[in-house]
Amino acid sequence: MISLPILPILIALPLIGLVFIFLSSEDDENAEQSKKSALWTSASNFFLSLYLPINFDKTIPHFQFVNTFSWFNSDSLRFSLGVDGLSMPFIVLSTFLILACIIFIFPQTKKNMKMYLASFLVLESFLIGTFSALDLFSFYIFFESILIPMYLIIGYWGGERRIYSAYKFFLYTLLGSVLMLIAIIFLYQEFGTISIPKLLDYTLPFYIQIWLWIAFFSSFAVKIPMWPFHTWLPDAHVEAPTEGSVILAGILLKLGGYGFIRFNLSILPDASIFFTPFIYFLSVVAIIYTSYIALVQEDMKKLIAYSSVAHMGFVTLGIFSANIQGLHGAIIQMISHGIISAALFFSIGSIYNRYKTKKIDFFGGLNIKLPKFSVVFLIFTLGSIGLPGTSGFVGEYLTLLAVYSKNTMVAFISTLGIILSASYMLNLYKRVFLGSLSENLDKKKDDINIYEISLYVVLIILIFIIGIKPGLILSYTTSSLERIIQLYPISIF
Amino acid sequence: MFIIPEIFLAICVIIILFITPFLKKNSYLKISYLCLIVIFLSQFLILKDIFYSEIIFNGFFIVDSFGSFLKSLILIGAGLIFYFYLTINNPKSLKRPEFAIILLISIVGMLLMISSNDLLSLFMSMELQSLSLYILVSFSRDDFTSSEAGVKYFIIGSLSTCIFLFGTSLVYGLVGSTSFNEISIFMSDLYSTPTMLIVGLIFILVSLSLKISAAPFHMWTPDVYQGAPSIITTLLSTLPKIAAFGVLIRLLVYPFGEIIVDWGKILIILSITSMLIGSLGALRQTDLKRLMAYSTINHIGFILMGLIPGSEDGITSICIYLIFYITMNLGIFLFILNMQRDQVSVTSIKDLSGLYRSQPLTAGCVSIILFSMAGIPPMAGFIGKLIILNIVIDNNLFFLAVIAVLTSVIAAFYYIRLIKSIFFDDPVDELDNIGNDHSKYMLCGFAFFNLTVVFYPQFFLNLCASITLSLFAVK
Repeated sequence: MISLPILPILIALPLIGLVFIFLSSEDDENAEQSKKSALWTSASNFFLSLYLPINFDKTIPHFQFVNTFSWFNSDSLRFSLGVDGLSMPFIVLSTFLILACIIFIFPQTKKNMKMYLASFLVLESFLIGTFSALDLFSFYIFFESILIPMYLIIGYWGGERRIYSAYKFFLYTLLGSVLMLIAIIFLYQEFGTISIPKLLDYTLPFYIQIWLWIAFFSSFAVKIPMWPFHTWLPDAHVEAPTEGSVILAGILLKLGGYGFIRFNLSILPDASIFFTPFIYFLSVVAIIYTSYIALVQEDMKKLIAYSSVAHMGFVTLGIFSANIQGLHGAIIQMISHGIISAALFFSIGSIYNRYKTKKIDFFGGLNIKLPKFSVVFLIFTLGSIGLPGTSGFVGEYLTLLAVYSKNTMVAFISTLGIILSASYMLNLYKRVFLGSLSENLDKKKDDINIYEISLYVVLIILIFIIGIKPGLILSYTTSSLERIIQLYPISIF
Repeated sequence: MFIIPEIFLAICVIIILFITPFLKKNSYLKISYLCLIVIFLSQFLILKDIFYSEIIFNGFFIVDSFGSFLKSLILIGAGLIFYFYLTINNPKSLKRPEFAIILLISIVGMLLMISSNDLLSLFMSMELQSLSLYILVSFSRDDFTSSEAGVKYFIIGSLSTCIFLFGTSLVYGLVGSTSFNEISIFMSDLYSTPTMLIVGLIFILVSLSLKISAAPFHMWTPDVYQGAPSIITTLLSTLPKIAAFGVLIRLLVYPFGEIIVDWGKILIILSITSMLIGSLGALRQTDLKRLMAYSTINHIGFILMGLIPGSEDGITSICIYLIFYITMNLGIFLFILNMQRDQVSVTSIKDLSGLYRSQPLTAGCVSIILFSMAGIPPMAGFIGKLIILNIVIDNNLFFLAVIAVLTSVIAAFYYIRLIKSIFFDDPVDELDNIGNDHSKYMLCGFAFFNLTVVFYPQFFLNLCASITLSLFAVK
């Protein structure tokens, strides 16, 4: 097999697309040429990223497609890229969602469209970099760099309180990550290497693991986000433009879960066992408490944002159960949430583009005006609740199964979260789409256009495919996850 | 071999001084071009013998590659500042031939500071530098704030000189010599360090802290930065800092290297207070130059951390950080120099609002440099911070590393506040477009450098590691 340097190509391609966008001299609002170049770039990047699952060797638990470059002058500091079963699905998810965003942008006009498209392409490059980085320094660099395009997306194209939200997003995430930087440098000093695969072979004394665990936790807990570090998320979601919310919920939150598995669980297993009750506590609070908050929200985006925090609670439960069902559940839950929450945010974007508001009270009986759209939204709602057959069910079921084997009480309480999620999501659907037609909706609006239909159909198909046959994804991740479990000490929790 | 570059510069200054009366109108431009050529030539003289090392004038001065590197860094900075001076739209009060000449004299002083190998020669060169800077700060004679800044700088500077001389006299009283070599020999023979020697060192350190504006000796910085003409603020925030750091490193590592336990603690306090004051003090500033003063203090605190272990790696990291620091500062100040509305210079943060609408390219470049100053990857500022933090953690100073990263988050707040003004705020009253292409290209150059350093950090590491070797070879 010819070894194609696929990961560097995936990272570099969006940046090449950037050049084409800046070369075209067009007006601000509707940059046709730039939109086309962005679409071509993201589409080709998505299809190129399919090279990874096609050529992936499922039997090998180690990293594949590894490319190493000299970076700093010593041998121990090298810039290397590679994927294993854990990171590969997220790379494909990233390229897919960025493509979806560009398709969604296509029929719209926005102020300074060129910069908007450019931000998404830069974001794509950094996201792939984060998921494929095999050394700590480049992981940190990519992880932090994401802040810059995201800050601009929220702050420049966002809603009314965009500046406050952009600040909050930037500073919260930065504050979390800088402690991780210290942990990363410490790991480098301790072992003389920054290569993640090599670090898996070392074990650290318990008292050091505790401190490092806290440092990594502070970064990923803000990113994922866990209760009580979640307060930046509702603000950021509400103010971000539709596509920004999609990327934020769809991929950026997954960086937290990915980091938990890659660093806290794999490199610091003893401390992970020590902190498992703590994580269980925070996750259960997140599931129950944020679900109740979601019940009383007046803004659709804010409701979905709080539901994201609850869903991520299941992810952390699954991860720190540290058995194969739990990790599988966490990964399926993350990918399913990546698709479903993206779909929900796209849908809210569709509503917002027509009625210029996201307030739930404004609507009522929307199914009379937009019949096709209300079917689509119903499917996404059911997926988010976790109806059997949709991808949401698989993730929650596997997670609860794993937690049940470790701690029955935690499993019992978090199952209540599913009921709560049904109540707030169905309530949302009832208030917006059902009932008598609200008087605000007198004007005739077009039902969803061809771009939106094609996008939603693809998302619906994905939700059902993962829901019915999760093995498609799990077959890739199994061997890598089993390796993590093997290294993990047996615990009583 | 003599210290040819300094001698060459000094002679050229005198010649240029004598030429000046014979030139007619617009002589300030011709003089500046002449100075630029002189700087270029002396840069060539330094680079020619960059790996040469010798102690000359009976131990009064030393030539080594560490010094030569910092000198060439200073000359690059000086060349750029002269270039800024030539291309931007200067206020009328600065269009005088003396300006360039005095600037060149201060640069001679800085170069001599770095070469000094004796407390007395250090004193003389420091005075040469400072006295010319006092004049430059108060150069806009009809401007009230400039004069005020000049007086403040002069008073604080004189105080710093007094403290330095007092410290020197204590050291001389114990050692019987002011030469670095003699002090070093004296120290290595001792079983226990006399308290008075440490007191003397503390006095010298305080004086140098005043020069690099490390907190709590930073009080003059915001006022002087704000009051001085912008081109002089550019100079103040970059070149004298390099020179003073050169002196600090040479002094602490070579003659006082034996008592690292004592001065290490002092540096820890200095760096923590600098980082705290530099980040907290800037939060409520409304003037861009004043804010840059606090930003300087914050960066100085960060750089000081690299010196605490007194090791070769630490000094390498300081050299790398200094390179990035001057590129960031020169970039920002190049923009500040070009900030004008209706041909009048403005420096308030409010004036930045909506810059992105009117001048997208400039706004993009300035933002890249600001992100770099905040230490957000993948910019150069992050690489610098990474290398320094690496040194700090290598020496198990975890609390210091934690304070450093937390203050850098606070500092990030005010940098992204500027970026917020540039991108998100509605323009109140638009600034003039940057008229000259030179400044635009230079700004793009600085931004490009800050953006691409992440691809070749090994170049700077190798360069700085090779030059710091000479510092430790003397030992």
